[in-house]
Amino acid sequence: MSYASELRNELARAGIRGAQAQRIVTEFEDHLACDPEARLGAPRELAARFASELRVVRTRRATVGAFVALALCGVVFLVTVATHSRSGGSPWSALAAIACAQIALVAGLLALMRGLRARSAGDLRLAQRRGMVAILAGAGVAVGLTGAGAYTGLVALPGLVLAARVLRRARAITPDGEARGLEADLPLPRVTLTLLGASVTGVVLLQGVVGEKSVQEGLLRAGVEGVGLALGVLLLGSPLALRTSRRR
Amino acid sequence: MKAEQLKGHLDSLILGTLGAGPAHGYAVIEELKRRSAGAFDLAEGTVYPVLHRLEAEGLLASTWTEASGRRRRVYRLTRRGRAALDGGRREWRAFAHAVDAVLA
Repeated sequence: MSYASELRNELARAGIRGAQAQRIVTEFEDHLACDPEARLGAPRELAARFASELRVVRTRRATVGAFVALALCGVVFLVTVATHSRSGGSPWSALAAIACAQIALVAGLLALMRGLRARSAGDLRLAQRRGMVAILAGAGVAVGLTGAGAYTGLVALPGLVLAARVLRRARAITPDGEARGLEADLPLPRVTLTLLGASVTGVVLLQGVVGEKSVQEGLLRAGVEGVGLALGVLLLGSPLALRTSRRR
Repeated sequence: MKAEQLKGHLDSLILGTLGAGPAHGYAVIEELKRRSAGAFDLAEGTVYPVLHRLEAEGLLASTWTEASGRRRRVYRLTRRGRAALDGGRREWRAFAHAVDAVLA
């Protein structure tokens, strides 16, 4: 097998494919044409080095891209909530959209925080996973809005699909590793999360009491929000690293 | 000089080499060897991943050209790359000055 073929195979094994792999092989062929005795190194080591050099910048770009796509999704969500008539569509879809919007916001922010500072493979993988959870939740918002009879949600989908593709490219060149827990993103993570949860529940309570002029409605909504938050932490605590560091 | 000793300086060295003008990967490596009088004994393949990363970070830009019937990727500094090179020079001078002061 020629050096170029071996290099191409190793690049693919390391997650580098398509135009970038072709470009690398062409550059190495040019180098060997300039100096047939050149010490270019073992293809496997070179492919690993390319992946290692590129994974930080790709992850940073992917998490920023995901956040931008989610911001667009957030704007669509807020505009729809403010303008859409409540008649028609499933109330469960609307509820799902509201829950997914909160998950997308938290996961997207956490992905961005880790993605901008991560260096180790484990931290990069965590940022990518958080970004993917945020994008899936964003898609949940779009689908939920559509189910509730507001087709504006579909506007956000192409951006989310593109962001997911960029994240997958970053993930392809990042191996598993040990990631730090939430303490790497937030000072006093438990206190911060508790305060945040209490604030959101309080806002929902107020909104129910004032908006619907009913204490009972406010308490019901706050209860649903509180249970939803607890469930969210329970279900997403591990993939989003809301608790302690672990092997991923 | 081993690759480990160059770790942390390779970015600046590559930017410095391209500070003189655009060049392809092989020319960058040759220029590094020439300017260091052979002191930087790098495995040649290791320079390319750094070139790709510097480009992904926006410090370099590159284009395809033709040479002797072959496709060749030529790199050049971007404005951000030139600023990074200036910063790298300042940092290195301060570091070298401090080491000199201790070792002298």
